[in-house]
Amino acid sequence: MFYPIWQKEVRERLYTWKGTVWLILAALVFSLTSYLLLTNKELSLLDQTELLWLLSKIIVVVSLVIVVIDASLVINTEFERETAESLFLTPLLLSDFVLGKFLATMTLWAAIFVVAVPYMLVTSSGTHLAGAFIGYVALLGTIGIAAIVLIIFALSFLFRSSKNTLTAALVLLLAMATPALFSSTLKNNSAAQVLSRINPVDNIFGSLDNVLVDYQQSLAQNWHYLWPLLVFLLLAIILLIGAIRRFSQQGIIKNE
Amino acid sequence: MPAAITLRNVCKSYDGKPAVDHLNLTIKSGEFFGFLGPNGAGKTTTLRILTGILRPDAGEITIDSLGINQRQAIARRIGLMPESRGFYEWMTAEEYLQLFASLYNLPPVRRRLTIDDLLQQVSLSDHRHQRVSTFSRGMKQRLGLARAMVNKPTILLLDEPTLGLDPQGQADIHTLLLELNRAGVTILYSSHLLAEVASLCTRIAILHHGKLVSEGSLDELRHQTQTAERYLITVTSSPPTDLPGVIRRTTIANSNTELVVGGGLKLANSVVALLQSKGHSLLDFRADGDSLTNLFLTLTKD
Repeated sequence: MFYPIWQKEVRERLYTWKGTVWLILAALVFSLTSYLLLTNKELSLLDQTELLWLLSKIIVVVSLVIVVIDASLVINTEFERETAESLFLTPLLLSDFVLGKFLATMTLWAAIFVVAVPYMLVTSSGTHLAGAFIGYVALLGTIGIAAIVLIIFALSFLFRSSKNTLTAALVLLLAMATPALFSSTLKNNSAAQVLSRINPVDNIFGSLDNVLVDYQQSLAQNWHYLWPLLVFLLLAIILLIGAIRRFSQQGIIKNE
Repeated sequence: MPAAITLRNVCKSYDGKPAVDHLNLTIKSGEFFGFLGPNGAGKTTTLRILTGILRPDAGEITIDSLGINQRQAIARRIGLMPESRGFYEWMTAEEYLQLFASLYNLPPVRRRLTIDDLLQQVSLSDHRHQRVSTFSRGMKQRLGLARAMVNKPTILLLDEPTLGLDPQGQADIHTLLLELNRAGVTILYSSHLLAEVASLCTRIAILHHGKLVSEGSLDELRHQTQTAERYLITVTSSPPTDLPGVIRRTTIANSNTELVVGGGLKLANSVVALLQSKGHSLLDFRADGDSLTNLFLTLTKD
């Protein structure tokens, strides 16, 4: 039953400005970054593996920003535009509604990833890293983005307001991205190390560094980055289930 | 006749203020039931509780013998045209109905036939490929009604279905609803338009401050409130002088004569027959809205 919701969401992104503008913006950022990395005198002095790591981080951050904004609006606009009432008059289950919306948001991530592939191919030409580069961006990006989307959906059900959800989601993104920007010196501090260890964005960047710069490309060699991400995903699923239960108990339409 | 909808001591309050207060109601299968009440009386809350999208604080509800917790089974039996009519404005009318038909899991062939049929019924066939954002309010109302009927419901709940429609649009909707009711569909019609409810519904419930203040046929309600039944008759030419003593008011406007007749429908019919036998052309004959207003005001007086 989730399929009609997923189909509607994907079509809405195609019909309206939302999806198209996001993809054009992503392509512009990737083009500009790749161009600078390949032509700028100072940047082109970087080792090619460092250059790939820089591009991979930009792809992940751009995707995160776009997906976070999209996910923050996708649930509550149904209630704010008063379309949810009609949807839930059908036998549609709340779980199918969430699954359809989740897959639609992940489709947006997939579309951004497809846009990024040519840039990854061009910048990694001449190295043996193209496969690992694309594969790990896909794997780490999918786990990290899925977890963050699920947390944002949980916030949507708790807040029942797209504005509040968007604000909270951007704060969350900022909170997760900040430790990832700590310099190596700052990370010598034990608190920063703990933060870095549990922070999904940091783990994504760390794993990409491991793969692209240190040539440690097997899953076993990246397990210490992957398991915190998987735990984060599991926690996000638990949080969402709790939020959905609370939402169901309150009723689909909130007391007015 | 078996009960289509039963409510027993249903309560719902918002921030401690009761919106529905110990509501007891039984709507029989195949009935055209009117739900009247001033704004904030609890009509929309009751309809939302019946569909399962709003949880009651207390009480027992059965729909076609199903408990309210069986939301999925109930959703297949009922159709609701809600007061809030959010539409996916970027969709065409056909795409909009396709979405809901697929949510009811209708097979593709049946889906197409159902949508064709519904668009025909609500006179939107010519606009099927037009985006909803270009629709007038009346067209959206009709599309909303079509959506409520996608699953061919046995119980149709309508919340102010003719709001914003022109007289022709209202008449079309009334005709369609009467046809559906004749075909066996139970209709719960919520409106604040008294004349509309009176002309369509066989039984009426009047809600005030979330409480059921009266229930019954129009005649029963008149009897309860001792409100006289009156009819308006409009004829051409000057007022006749030799009519029986049932005329309550005679108004001459635009060279037509408007007569208010009390004493029931039979008497009003006999007055009409008499007028026609005397050569007066009948322009209008209908229940007097003022008398319905009196009835409504009497029942919802604080």
